[in-house]
Amino acid sequence: MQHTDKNYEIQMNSINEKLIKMGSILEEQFNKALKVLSTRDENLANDIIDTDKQINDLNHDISDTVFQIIAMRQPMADDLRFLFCSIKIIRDLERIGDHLVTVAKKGYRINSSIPPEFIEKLEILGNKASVMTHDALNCLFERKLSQADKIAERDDIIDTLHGEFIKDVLSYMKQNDDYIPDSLSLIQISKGLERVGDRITNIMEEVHFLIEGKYSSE
Amino acid sequence: MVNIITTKNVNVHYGDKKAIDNISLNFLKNNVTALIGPSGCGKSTFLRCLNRMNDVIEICKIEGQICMNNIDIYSNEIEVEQLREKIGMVFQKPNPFPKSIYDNVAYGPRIHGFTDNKEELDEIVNTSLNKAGLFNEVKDRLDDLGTSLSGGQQQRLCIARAIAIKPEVILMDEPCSALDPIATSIIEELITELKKSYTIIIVTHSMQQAARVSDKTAFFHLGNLIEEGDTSKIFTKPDNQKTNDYITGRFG
Repeated sequence: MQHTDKNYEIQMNSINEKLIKMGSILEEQFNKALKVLSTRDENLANDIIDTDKQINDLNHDISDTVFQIIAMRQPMADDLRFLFCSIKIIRDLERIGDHLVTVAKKGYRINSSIPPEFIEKLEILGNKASVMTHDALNCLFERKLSQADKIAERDDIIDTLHGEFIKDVLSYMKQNDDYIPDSLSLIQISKGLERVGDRITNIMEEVHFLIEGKYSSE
Repeated sequence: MVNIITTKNVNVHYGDKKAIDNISLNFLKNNVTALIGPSGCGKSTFLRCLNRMNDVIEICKIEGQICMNNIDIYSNEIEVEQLREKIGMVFQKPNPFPKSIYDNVAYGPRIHGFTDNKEELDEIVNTSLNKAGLFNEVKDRLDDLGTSLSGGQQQRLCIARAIAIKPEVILMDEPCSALDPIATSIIEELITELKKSYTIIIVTHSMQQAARVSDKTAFFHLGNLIEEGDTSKIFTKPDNQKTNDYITGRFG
């Protein structure tokens, strides 16, 4: 059911639309960042860095709208939970954007002599993080918790893959002194993708609160 | 926690029209309970059943059971004056008598025969004005007309008048709807203070007011009780979709 006050309805809808936009830009950023890893395309990396500004702007934009609605409308019940949830998850979405910028900045400089299996493993990790982000945002937009438990399990898988990757890169570094800077970049990229998993777990907690009125741990 | 007022299967008809449909709702002692809902939902009608204000409306028929301290308030043994000694009421528009501030407060204790002693009466008036948060503002002009006070002060005078007969329950029917925000804040703070000594049941159209002052909230719609519970829950995660839609401004 829509709000009786059409302007209120428009304001609330605008937040939802901006969240969808933030989500779709992030999805694009994921695709491009993973492509940078395989192509070392500097232009694409710069494109990711530039696009990140849009995510930051949306973060501030949503924040301002939520602030205005709280001040002017004194929202209640599901409106209040949605605004509360939005204000918290935009921070996580903005940070996911930052992690993808790290992937881009480090990614295009990685020496082409680095064994390709490292890049393949990062792509696997990145794809998992990307799908996780997509699913979590779907839970938010559809107000359904169907994927909620699986998200936590998938974060554990990402953590494990990241741990194994670090071990592999460290042993490679020991044997290849010349590639220490590149290896450190690989570790930073993997760490960034692992952090995406953590951010998504936070987001799912907020979506749980939005739908159930309490956190899943309560 | 003890229920001071219990109601069971209450139906109210105005002629052929059913205004309240089978409501059972209890009120905890020393709690503030807010009754909310759109115009015509029955919340004021229900409130007025609790001190038999509807008795004077000829076409009004009340069924079901309403007890205060386990005594049926509609039983033949209960005198309505006796009941209203226990259940005071404050209305939407401040309605002080056209008498002095002092006499407004002393009126109840006098007609209920509490005392004729001047000193005792002074004590009751001062204490009541104090509890209503008005004493300091009017102590030097107790002989002035009650109607000469500002709207907010008049409403507090009405609260003092209600308190003076030492009720256990105070019913408030939109007590702040005619007041400005500052006067409203003073009354709301007073409500929180008064609940230490009294049980308060308040009808309000202001959702924010209900959220601010009450411990429990009951949502009425078309004569039905849709949902009741802790105020903190009703305004954040109500169980019923209708409650959610009403308090978020989707209807009503």
